[in-house]
Amino acid sequence: MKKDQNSSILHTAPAKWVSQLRKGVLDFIILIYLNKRDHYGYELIKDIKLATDLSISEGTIYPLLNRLKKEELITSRWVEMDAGVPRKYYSITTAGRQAMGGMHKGWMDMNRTMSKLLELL
Amino acid sequence: MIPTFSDPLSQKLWDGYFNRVKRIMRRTPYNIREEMLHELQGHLAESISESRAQREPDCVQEAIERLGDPEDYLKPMITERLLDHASGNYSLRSVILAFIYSFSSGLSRFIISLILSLGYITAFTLGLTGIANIFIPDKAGLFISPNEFPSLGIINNPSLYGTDILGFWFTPLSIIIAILMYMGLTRLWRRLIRKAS
Repeated sequence: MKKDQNSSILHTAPAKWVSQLRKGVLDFIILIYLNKRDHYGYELIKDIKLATDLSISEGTIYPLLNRLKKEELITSRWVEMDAGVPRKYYSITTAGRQAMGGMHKGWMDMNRTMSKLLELL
Repeated sequence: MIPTFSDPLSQKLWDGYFNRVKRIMRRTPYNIREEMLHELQGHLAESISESRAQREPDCVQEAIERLGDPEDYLKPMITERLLDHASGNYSLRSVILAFIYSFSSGLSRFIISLILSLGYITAFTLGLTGIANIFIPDKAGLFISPNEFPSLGIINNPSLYGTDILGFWFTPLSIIIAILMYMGLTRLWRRLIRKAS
């Protein structure tokens, strides 16, 4: 019984850690996509899911977009579509690009440090 | 914004989901609520149209499951917004609403709010004791005795707890400290909730 519990913890702990790690970099991922071009919420989550295999509920993206907007890293505007419902498009701001640059540098530094550490394995 | 459904069950699922969204967001400003509602409706409509399920209600249900429970993703956002508002104008209403939302929006937010609620209770008790001191100066205050631990608050038999050392100054001092505590706790709460997001 205890052995089963231990193997379950060993199985779920890395998965949980990876999931937390991915969620932690979601801000960075959103800024990367918006730097490429403007996106609306559904399109953004679809692109993120395709590229990252991120297992989060789609609704999670809206509070994040809301926070990035409040921090003035992105802006939004409603666009009327020829067919269908209007869409709320998000664009990156100059401050957003600067923040993304800082995140990029931080990520590269972390990557270098981790690569060195992983050589010890 | 609302798609036309051929099956009444699909309409029921759609209405049920957006009634939950409206209920959660009922205390947020009208323009923010409407904007979020339109954005989520657009999202769900597009998600339904791309669903591969055979039956229409299954398409709606699958799209709803992918979008997630509105309680899970909206409550933390509303708590943050309320705290932003509260730390700008220190509105007691926003603080109380933030408590209502944060107690049911995840364990970390629950723990943070629980700890800070003790601070708020202390601040309010101090403020109320300060006001009580105006009406019952003999029984409300800070009492110090050489043999007892200092007592702060409203005391029935003050002679047992020593003498009130602040006298007239107790009311203004306690009210000022209570206000500073309230302001500091609100700002701290906003900072902690942001870190927890």
